Amino acid sequence: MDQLSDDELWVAARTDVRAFRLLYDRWAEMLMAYFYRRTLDPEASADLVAETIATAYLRRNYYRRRNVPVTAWLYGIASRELGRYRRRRGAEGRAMRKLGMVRPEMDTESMARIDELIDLANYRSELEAALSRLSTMERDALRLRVIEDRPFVDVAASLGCTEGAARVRVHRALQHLADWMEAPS
Amino acid sequence: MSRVPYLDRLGDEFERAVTESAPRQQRASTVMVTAFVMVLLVGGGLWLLRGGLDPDIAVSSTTTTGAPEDPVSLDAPSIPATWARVPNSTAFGAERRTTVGAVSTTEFGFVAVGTADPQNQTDAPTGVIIESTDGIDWRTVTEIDGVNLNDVTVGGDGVVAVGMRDFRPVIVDGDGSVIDLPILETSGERAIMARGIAATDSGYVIVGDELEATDEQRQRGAIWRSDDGASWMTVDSPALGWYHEASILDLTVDSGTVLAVGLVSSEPGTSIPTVWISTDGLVWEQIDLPTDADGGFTVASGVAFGHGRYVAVGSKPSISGPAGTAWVSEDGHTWEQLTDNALTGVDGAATRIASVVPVADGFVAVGHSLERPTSRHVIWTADASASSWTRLDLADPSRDISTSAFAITANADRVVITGAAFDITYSEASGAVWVGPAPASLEAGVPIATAGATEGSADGDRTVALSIDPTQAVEATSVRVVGRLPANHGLDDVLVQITSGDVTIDLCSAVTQGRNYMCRVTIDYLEPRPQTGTYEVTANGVDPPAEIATIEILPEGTPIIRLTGVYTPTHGPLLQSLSIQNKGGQDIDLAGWSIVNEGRDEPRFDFPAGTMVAAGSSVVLDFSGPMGARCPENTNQYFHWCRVVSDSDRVDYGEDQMLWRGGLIQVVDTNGEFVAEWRPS
Repeated sequence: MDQLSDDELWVAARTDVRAFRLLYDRWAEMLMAYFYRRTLDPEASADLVAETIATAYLRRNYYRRRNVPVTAWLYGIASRELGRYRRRRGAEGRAMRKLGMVRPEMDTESMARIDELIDLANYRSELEAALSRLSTMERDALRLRVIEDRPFVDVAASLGCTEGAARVRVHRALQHLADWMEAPS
Repeated sequence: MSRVPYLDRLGDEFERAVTESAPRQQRASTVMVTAFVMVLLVGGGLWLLRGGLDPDIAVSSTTTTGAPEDPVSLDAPSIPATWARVPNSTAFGAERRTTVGAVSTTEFGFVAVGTADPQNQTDAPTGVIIESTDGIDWRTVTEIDGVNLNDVTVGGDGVVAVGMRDFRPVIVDGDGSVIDLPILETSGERAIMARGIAATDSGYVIVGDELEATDEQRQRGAIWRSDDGASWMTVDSPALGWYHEASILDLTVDSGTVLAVGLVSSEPGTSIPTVWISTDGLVWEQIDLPTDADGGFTVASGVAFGHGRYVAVGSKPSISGPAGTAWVSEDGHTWEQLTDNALTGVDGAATRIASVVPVADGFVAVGHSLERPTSRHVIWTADASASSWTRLDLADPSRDISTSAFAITANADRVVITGAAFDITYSEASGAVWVGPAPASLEAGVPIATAGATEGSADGDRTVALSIDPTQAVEATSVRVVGRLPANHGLDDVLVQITSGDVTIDLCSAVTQGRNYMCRVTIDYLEPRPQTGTYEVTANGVDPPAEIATIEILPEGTPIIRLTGVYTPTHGPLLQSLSIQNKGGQDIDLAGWSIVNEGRDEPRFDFPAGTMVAAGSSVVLDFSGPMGARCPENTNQYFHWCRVVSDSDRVDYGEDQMLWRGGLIQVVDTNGEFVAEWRPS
């Protein structure tokens, strides 16, 4: 079964959970890297991988080839899950609940390995490049709020602006970073 | 093995969950297979809402989803024996003026689409996609400004809805992204509407129509096809010719055959119900459906495939207005029109059937019965042959006076109907959803109001807290307020109000009897409509305020009547009709009950013996009608409050003797006890 292509495995996975597990083993790291690059949050990425896999399993009968490889279909699901995560600031978990899955705890070793998945050295340079494109005000706001974990009232006092303005600057900075680093790996 | 230990543990957990829940998954995949089957069996749909929210001219249909690759058998519930109205939800427009026009199954439950009309009638509408796992609890998925949404399906790429934006056809996905569909011609004034969508085993098909607003209006059916849901083409077929009016309203898919229904009209006032059929979505054949109507407007609004046959539903002309009708075909080419009298409204009222779905042991169709001055949703059921139909007369103990059903779908567990509820009193429509079989939690209904403890002393003023939650209620609640006045008060009546913060609402007007007073009110008939909250009840009209002795939520079985008047203020106090609706859960015998003006002196209208109003039903008291030498005869549902002017042999509906004086009008029971009242706004 290991010799089968993704698409061949997908056909088998409709009735054989072992085939789906093989596909999962092929996809899991790709998916984790995909989500981690976009969220920089290993816990959220773990949630999103689990939900994406559960959704793909539940929807396995909906995929039909139509000249689209199954991995592209899978990334479609991942993209929708990411969009929902961004809107709700959390993974939905609906498919996991439907399957009765309980997400395992994340451990420090896994967190370190996840960092490796996205080639942090290269990613760091991308991040530095993106940070350099931010305005000074946005960069300072981001540093105070995200790195120093200061409350918005302190961020506002440091920047000499209102609390609302500080929130807007942090929000915009994060949005810019997300946009500039959005290119797929 | 992954380099990330967590991912290995997640894979193990996934395998465990799937393996251990195999029976549950078998059930889930049955649901999913059902979803696939449904696309073969039931058409894509729409709701066609012309001329605002008038249920008399609304037709609609539905679709279900999926696209099977393997042979499967129909797995749906049997025809439900019980039905229930789902509590109003802000998701489908409790406060949003949304009508829910189409519904479809998904692997997780149900998805539906609707359109919210703006309050001011000038802004653009808002398309709404909502979803539910059980058909009962709904939540909003996305809202799209400026879009009418008519139908929804689920394909390989998730939810796909269709509709119109700026008079151009669009599709919308579950994330709210809007894609314009291609159109053949862009010049001239034209409105192109996508009305129905279905997933096929090779992509999607959308149907609709194109209206060209030239001096001589003309219209033709429109069809789009896609292999992947992303790239679309407009079908240019000889079967889509120009007519005075032509529209494709619904479609269904079975084993690669796409079958759509609608109408074509060569001249105003008449139409031919029509089928369009194709094996590839590109080449179409147009087939006239047989009709037993001699002229007039006959339309096929919905279609489904199940139990080896196509079933189309719609309406045809009759003496009392449109009447429901249905057609059956085993091959999609040769059709038979059914002549079943059950496909009519209650008491033969005008009827439109909008949508049909197959279930395990037959078919279920929905539409609405047009009962002056309101409409009521109606469900018809048939066995697997679809040749013999039964109408279910349902009580709907909701607060809405007029209901319409537009779409129906079913998964393995439940049948879901969507539509709209129109409240004449508030001139508002909102989404409405019914489910069958009814879950036990909905069968009994939910009391709207609960009375709190009385505060204050027996010798002084008292107030009572009244908690009201109208948004979650499916049943009206009757409340009685009893109080006592100071000696020598000199009052004829007392106004009982509820107050919360800046909001004060008149609860009821209590007629005094000595030092006592009592009034009764149905909590779903207050203006303004109370929001959820706890209100303080006070009785005014005298200083110091009257004492409230008790406030009581009346027990189940207490008659709950809603009165709704229809009148034209600009023509003076001429009430046109009064609807007496039984909002409770039990039938009411109105014999000996009366309609009286405020003050209860003559004239009054006494209901004759044998006047039964079923739970959820209405009778209408007409104040207008044909002139002549005698009043029109009463029926079981229509009564006429009129009298012959003796010296002229002329029927008087109130112009001379003011049967209704333009103020408060009440229903009193056989003992003269107040039951309900209505006052023009």
